[in-house]
Amino acid sequence: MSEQLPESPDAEAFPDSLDPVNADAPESVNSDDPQSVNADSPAPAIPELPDEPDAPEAPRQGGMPATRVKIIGVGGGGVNSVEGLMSGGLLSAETVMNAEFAAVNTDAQALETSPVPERLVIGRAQTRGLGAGGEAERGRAAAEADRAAIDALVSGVDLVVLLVALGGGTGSGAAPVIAKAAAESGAMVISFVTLPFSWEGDRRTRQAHEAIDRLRAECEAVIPMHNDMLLQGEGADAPVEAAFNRANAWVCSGLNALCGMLFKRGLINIDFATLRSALPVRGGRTLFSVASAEGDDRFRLVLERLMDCPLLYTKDAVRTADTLVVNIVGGAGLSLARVNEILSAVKGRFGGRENTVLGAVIDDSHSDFVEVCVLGSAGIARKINAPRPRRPSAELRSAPKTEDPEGSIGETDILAAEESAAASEVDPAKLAVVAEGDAQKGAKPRAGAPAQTEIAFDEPGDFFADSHTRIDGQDIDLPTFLRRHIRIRL
Amino acid sequence: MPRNNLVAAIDIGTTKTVVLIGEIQADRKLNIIGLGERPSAGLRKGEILDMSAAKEVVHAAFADAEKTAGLHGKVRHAYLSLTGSHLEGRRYVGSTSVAATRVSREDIERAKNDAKRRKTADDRFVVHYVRQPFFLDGKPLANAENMVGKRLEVSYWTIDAARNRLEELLHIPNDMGVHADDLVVSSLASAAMVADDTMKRNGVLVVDIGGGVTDYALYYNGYVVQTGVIPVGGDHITNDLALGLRISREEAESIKIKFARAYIGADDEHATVFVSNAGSPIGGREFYKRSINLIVSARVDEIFQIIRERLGRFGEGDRVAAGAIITGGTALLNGLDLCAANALKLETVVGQNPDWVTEELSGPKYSTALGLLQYALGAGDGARRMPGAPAGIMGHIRKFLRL
Repeated sequence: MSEQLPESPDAEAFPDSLDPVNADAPESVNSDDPQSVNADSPAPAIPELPDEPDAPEAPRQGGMPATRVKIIGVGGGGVNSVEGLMSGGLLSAETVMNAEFAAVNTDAQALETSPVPERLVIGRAQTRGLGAGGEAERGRAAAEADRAAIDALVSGVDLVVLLVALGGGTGSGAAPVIAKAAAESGAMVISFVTLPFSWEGDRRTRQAHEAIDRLRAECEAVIPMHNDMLLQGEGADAPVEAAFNRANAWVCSGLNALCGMLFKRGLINIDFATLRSALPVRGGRTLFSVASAEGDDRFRLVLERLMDCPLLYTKDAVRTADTLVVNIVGGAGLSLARVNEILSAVKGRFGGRENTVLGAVIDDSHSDFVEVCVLGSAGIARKINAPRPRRPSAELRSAPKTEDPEGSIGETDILAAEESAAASEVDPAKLAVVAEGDAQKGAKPRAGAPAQTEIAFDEPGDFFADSHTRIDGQDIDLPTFLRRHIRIRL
Repeated sequence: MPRNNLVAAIDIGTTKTVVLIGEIQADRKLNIIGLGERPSAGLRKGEILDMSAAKEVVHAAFADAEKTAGLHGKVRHAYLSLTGSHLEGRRYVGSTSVAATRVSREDIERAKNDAKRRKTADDRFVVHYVRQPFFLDGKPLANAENMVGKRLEVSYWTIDAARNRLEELLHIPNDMGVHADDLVVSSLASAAMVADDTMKRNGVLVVDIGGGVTDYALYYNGYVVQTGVIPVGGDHITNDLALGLRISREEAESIKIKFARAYIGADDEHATVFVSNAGSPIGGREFYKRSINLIVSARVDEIFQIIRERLGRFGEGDRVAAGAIITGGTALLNGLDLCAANALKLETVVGQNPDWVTEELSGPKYSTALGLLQYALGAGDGARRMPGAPAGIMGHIRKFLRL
């Protein structure tokens, strides 16, 4: 169960629901609050942007305290990036409506003219508002000096997203401090960072790599984008802004997927606690890929493109993860069967054995469209069983999990998990769509199924299955390099 | 009757369909006057999966060819290439005792009939009896008539095909009112183009690597010794690249054409190529050349290893003095000849169509279609038949299939 679970008949099928928020405030779930999401109504009216962007407990969907997401640009490049996102038109309605935008810089003048609503100049005493001069040490000192203001900036926020262009002084120096402050306040921290062009010189590259290591220690996920790589597709005379625009396009896709998971009413919802459970520790390596496709062939194409995502192939990116968050947004054709197909394919390619969290949303406005976002964490398998303490509010909203106290998900009955998840999470208003598409098990809500938001699958997907020819006992259609165990470096 | 001597060559490949129109003058002279070429649809590994899709493409290519020849609706005869793993080849030996002291025509007929006496299964049909030399008391002879001896033997390399596949293929010309004069196994048609008589006498292996299948034919002493089809082709290379590099088929195809090489070079170790993302405004990726070439060379090596194994002792160097000749669309893959030479342990070259072929048709992907016209002209390996001529194997097939 999640806080986004729409008011629906089967909400009553789980009287002993473990959702503590529901238990605490049943009236609000069933209230006539115009902003509460009703399954029988058409798509909810777009709520207005909150006047107070940092109002900590602004009641939103279902009258519950909404998950607060704050997107903070740090340093000149990071602030540019936030401004680009706000004006670029690439962010989804969910992101714009639910996220708060903020800018942190040492350069007071640059911030003065910025359209970002919440602006914080740090280190005035150290730099006299003149910037960090490319020195990460100065950026860090500036942030440390204004730690109180930074604490206030991140206070009460559930998910802090940092956008940083690493290499310069403020971004490289201050971002790890802000990440630390956010983590200490109990927030989950995800950073999208660009790494400098190689021609920017060794010093900036070194500064960027030191910063990324520091950030990793404080963040649940760090998604690096290499400027060199971003520009390579553009041809020799492409302007540097092209890399900037490309980086922003990826950030937008990632943010839209995250906010879509958290705020869009879905076939299978992810609430913040669930999202968090999939990225349970800091310091891991991050896997991130997002892709979309349209047309009749979209379900195949989107998987292909997901494997194509350049962010998977940067030098220090990982290609399989211990935990995965998979979010699928599709038009009316997105049935549970499709969702399962995509999920098993994604798991087959990216791993996620320790924990996989699935979100699925039907977006009626695009009928033949599908977008898949995968966010994962690697190298953390041993740390998972000892997650760091969470602040009480996060704990309160935490959804019950399928894993037993030892965290051995492998023992979960896969089918039961699948069916019960379908039963508990499917929006009845969307069931008609599912039933039309495929005769799918789990399409009928079942009373008494345990509420859960996580689905564990162990079978790796094989969506390249084909009719196969055997020669001398070998399946000749499988790539030779696989059968000969030749390792392919990517 | 010049119009009656128009004949089309229809080569329906897994990835592309080629139609050539030839004008045969005075039984000996061939002018190629029309070309139609379209990307195929509805085929996999050389076999038709979607009849209407495949047919539509062939009909369109045929119409294109007629149009370039300025002969709309005038071409009524066609030779078709035949491939697919449903084809099976084996050697059958027939023998007889020579009735008198010298071999008579009747003796020869008897030996031939003995070799062809074997019944095929109900769902199979023999498409080629390719005669091999006579043996008179164990001595090979090109022509045994009037020679002195006691026991006459003759063998045929016999190729049979699945009846359903044949029927499907023949429906394609049939449905546009075109008479299929003959079917020629792709490897033999290609060999007619890229290997000359001297090579065939000295021993030559012709390998036609297409998109979906690889056809091969081995010649020795001027005769076809063995033919075969391996259901692996250039599409597999593309697919392997797509899986290995985690890219789309379109990108894999483009990498294959632009960058791939069928062997690992010393300079591959750290070299990379950059490929921008197809269909996406953002991104693009860098690939190690070594990774690309490892994937490609593993597949190509395997194809030739399979051929080598199937040829057995017949494929050994001293019997194949003219080496191996590669043709077909995939022959253009960089380094294919080196990889093949290494796997086959034979000298290997990429085949050339004969000099009389125009520049436009000189590419290896046209070898099969050109070879079909060569067969139509009557200079192929089989019995000579002119367009519209009755009987032959096609007559049997037609009767058999009630077309």
